Amino acid sequence: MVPDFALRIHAMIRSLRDVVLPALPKNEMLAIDQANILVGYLGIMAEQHDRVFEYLLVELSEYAELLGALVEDAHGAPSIEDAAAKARAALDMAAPVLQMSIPRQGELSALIRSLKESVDELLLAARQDGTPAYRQASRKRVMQQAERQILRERAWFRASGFELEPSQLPSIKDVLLLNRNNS
Amino acid sequence: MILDEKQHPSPAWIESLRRRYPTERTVDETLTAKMRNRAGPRHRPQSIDSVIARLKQFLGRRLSGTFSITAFRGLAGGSSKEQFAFDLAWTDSAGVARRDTYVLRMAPAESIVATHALREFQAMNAVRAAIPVPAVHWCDPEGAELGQPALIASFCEGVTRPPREGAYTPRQGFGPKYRALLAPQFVRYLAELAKFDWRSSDVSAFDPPAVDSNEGVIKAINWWERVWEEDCVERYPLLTLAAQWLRDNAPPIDHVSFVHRDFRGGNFLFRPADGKITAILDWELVQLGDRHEDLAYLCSPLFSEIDENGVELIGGLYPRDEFIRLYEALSGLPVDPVRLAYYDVFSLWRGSIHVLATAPRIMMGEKTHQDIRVGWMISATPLTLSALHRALKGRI
Repeated sequence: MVPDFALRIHAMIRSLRDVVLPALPKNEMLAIDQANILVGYLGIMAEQHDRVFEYLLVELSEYAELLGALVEDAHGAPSIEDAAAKARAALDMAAPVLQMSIPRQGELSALIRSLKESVDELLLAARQDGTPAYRQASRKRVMQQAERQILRERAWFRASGFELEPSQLPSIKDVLLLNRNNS
Repeated sequence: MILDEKQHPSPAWIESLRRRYPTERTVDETLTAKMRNRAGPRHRPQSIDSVIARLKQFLGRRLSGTFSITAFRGLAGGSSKEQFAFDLAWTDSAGVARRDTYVLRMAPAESIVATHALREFQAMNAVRAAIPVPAVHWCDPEGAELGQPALIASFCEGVTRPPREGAYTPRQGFGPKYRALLAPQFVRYLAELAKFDWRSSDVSAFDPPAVDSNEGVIKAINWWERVWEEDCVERYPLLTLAAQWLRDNAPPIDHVSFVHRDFRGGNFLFRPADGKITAILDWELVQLGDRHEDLAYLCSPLFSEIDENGVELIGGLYPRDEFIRLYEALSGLPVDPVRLAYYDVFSLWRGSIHVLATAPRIMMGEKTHQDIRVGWMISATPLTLSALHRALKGRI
């Protein structure tokens, strides 16, 4: 995805640090203080943003382990049995997610970049050496995929205000669901 | 954040791109310099004192007698060049004491468009005879004296948008009052530019294309395909298809004009009091080429506005058909729908390259003072891509 979040956050930090903060009058202590906090805040977000999902998975795994151990020893009073039953149900729900191999955001982005590169190489090869039928079919497929991607991107950036009629666009949630159902 | 080998391009790769995408001499110079400097330092805000010191030395070599620089200040606006205004008190060649305001435009380490200051300088000098353009006085195309490629022009009074209060929004239109005042002047100046006879002007920084040949169009495709290769962070197959289609369908140029390539609202100044256009700005992308490119660019949905009656106005000024009819009448040059459709694709493809490739690339390298703005511009890409897809549909 262009631009990625790290790039955007980094640009915001630079703007605050290099342009906004030096331009603030020295006596505007509250504004200076809050702008500096913003720089710090954004710095934290830059470090965290593509690890959020991974962080949650680690947390899920740790709590599953803890809960599993607690459930094993949970015998006796009806209240303990009740709580243990609920805990087992919660563990059953978490189990399929814990068994999945989920890539990091950076790994996913690299995979997508590599697929795009391969599509491009095939298009160039088709132009050079492909039969007219293959060339035509390749172009048609690329145009069809581009239509879906562009709709997704327009929804993704709908809030920027560049769209003439933003209300005509689907929401981010809807467009992601639509693409998932189509694939 | 993606950091790839393009941040440290090898000399062999730079040379291979030059060979693969032959283009105009000064364009090649600019892009080669950009790539050779890419691994260099990131942009840092300049100390005003050091800019003034260089400027004093620069002017000292060009002005006879004493002079003084006052009220030096940074200017907002524009996504590519760093701009400063200053007052200069000096004595002209007739011995008359003068006090004038100037604008210093300086290229940052890399910008959303890498361009050659001499092209901008020569084009502005040439077309001043026909349309309102700030007078350009000095140019340092290599940045040998001012530290960065730069030009100095007269400051022009005016605003780019009607006065308005409230938060920033990309779609701040002209509104009915200013539209009525501005639209006739705007179309007239665009028509004047198309018919301007540049042949007796100094255009040594340009390689004028031949009439009835598509050689100049192919050079322009090479220019932007080279930029795509130099800057892109990840591929976008629709742009590859568009480039292929543009090469296969490049039309010969029937009449060579100066093409501004960014002629739209936001790039001209007007007086709020009477709506008179005082200056057409931002000539950095100018080339000698096909007038249809300026027309097609203006038709981009990015610059459209829906008026009070629900009609889409291109450039926020006229319905498309009316604009083209007026343009033909004023320029005396025909508008060929086939060429216009071709340059629709060309302009949208080029615009997508600026924002999909160059904007994230310069943000990655921290090469400009406008990271935050070019990052914001990327949000407009889907709209441009959508128009590009529409323009290509049925043609591919």
